[in-house]
Amino acid sequence: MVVAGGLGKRYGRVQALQDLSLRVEEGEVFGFLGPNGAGKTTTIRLLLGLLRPTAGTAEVLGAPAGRAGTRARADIGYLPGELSLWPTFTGRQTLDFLARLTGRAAVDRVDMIALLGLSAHELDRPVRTYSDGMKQKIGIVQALQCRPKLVFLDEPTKGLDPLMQQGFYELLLRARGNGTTVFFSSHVLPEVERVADRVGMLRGGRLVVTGTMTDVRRTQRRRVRARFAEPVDAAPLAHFGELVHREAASVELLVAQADLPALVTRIGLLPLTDLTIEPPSLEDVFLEQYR
Amino acid sequence: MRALLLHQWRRHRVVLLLAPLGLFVFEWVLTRFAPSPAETARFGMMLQYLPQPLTDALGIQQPLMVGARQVLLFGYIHPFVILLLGLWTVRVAVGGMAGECGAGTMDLLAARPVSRAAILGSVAVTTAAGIVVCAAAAWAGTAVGVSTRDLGDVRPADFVWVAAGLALLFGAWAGVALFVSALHRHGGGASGIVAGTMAALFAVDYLARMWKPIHFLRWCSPFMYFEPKDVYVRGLATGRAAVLVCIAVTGAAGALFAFRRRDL
Repeated sequence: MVVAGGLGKRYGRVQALQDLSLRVEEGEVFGFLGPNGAGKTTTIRLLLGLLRPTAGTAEVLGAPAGRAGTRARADIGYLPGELSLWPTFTGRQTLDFLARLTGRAAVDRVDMIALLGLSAHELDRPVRTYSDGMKQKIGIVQALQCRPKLVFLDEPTKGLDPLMQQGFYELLLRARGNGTTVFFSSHVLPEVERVADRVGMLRGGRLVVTGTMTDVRRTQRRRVRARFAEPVDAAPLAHFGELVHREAASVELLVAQADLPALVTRIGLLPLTDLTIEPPSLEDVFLEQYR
Repeated sequence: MRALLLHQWRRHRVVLLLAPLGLFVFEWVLTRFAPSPAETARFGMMLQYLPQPLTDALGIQQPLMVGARQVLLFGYIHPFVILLLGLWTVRVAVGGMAGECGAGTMDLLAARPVSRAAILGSVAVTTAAGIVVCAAAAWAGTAVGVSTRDLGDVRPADFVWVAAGLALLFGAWAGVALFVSALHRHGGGASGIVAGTMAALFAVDYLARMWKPIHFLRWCSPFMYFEPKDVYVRGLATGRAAVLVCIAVTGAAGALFAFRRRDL
């Protein structure tokens, strides 16, 4: 669906994206993570052919991104990160126009409008009277209304209230059920964790982590919390990992999966009352990458 | 392409109705002020009081001979006409590319299965169509006015080529505007450049007519290649028309070259 090899983009002296290689398979939800300025939007715009790469190549739906891929874009939906709409158009006119431009019937529009709670009255108002949240809903609908094979969503939940975010997740599940491959960027970790099959993490224009959620977690350290019946000397435990918190009768460590058996054996020699081993959350992974 | 043309129409329809209406009314009003054969002498005497540089600039060699025809021809190069047609040309040609980029809406267009050539084509076609409609409206104003008032041997058909020349002049400016628009990221900056250049070259042409030492500067202004009086007398000169067409085509081709290669 999406194949990028050594993709790079430079703006003068600023290297916005460097040597990005990734592959997104058909039908998956790919979460693209990174702090502001990491290169998420640049990557999406390169894949859509809105920007010209200064290095590398990209293929989207089997066609090269850019001019040669014009026809392939009939099967692609896109929600820009900084969504702008024509202020004098009504919501309905905007959706009609963009569907006409796509050249496909807006088969999913009615369902999506209902799910996101857009009324007919709201759709007939000019966009200039919309709140940011309503504009975002129109943006989401226009991206998915023609049931694309692939959709790029750049910060899709920006401006949506928590209730509407739930509606959006539901909508994403339906899109996936219809066979749409989803490539979405976000820095809201719980939502990526909730909907993505695989994730990629960018840092400073470089892809630093990519894989399934399980893979990504597996490579990360576990959080181990141990509580003891009496104060203990925690110094020997620090050999097994990073001691992140320490009190007289409790410790918290980050430990690599391979070191867990040895640590558990060692802790067993102490007057243990409680032991918890947590798999890393995506937030842990994220923080570890960007610390 | 059809969807893009409809999009342009929806964005600019109000201006496309108002600009031709303004031109129609303006040219019609001129026919009311133009002297009838009986008023020609009195009108000519009034013009004699104007300073000579100004009459030179207006292309009046013999003020006493100025009749309705000369007044109506001046109406095709009057600053008001230039302003309205300039407004249309800059608004559409610049708004369709640099304007959409600056507003952030270009992303929604360019991410669709439409080529950049189609986006530029829709802008160019809309600009050209509006210019033709404006020039036709100007001619219609003259035609209606001339038909409803006795101005001697002045006939509406005599102004058809003048209106065509006016359309060609702004076709050339449309080419310039498309090129500037294709290179810029914001509509405001591109509009400023095109409007500023247009105003400056209009002023150059105007001053060069009045002041002989800088007469040679006229060649660099597209306004030199449209002289309503010459078009009226000799028809649309092939050489001058070719220069205007050349500017238009070169501008559009340059715009296509730049727009297809740039980052949006």
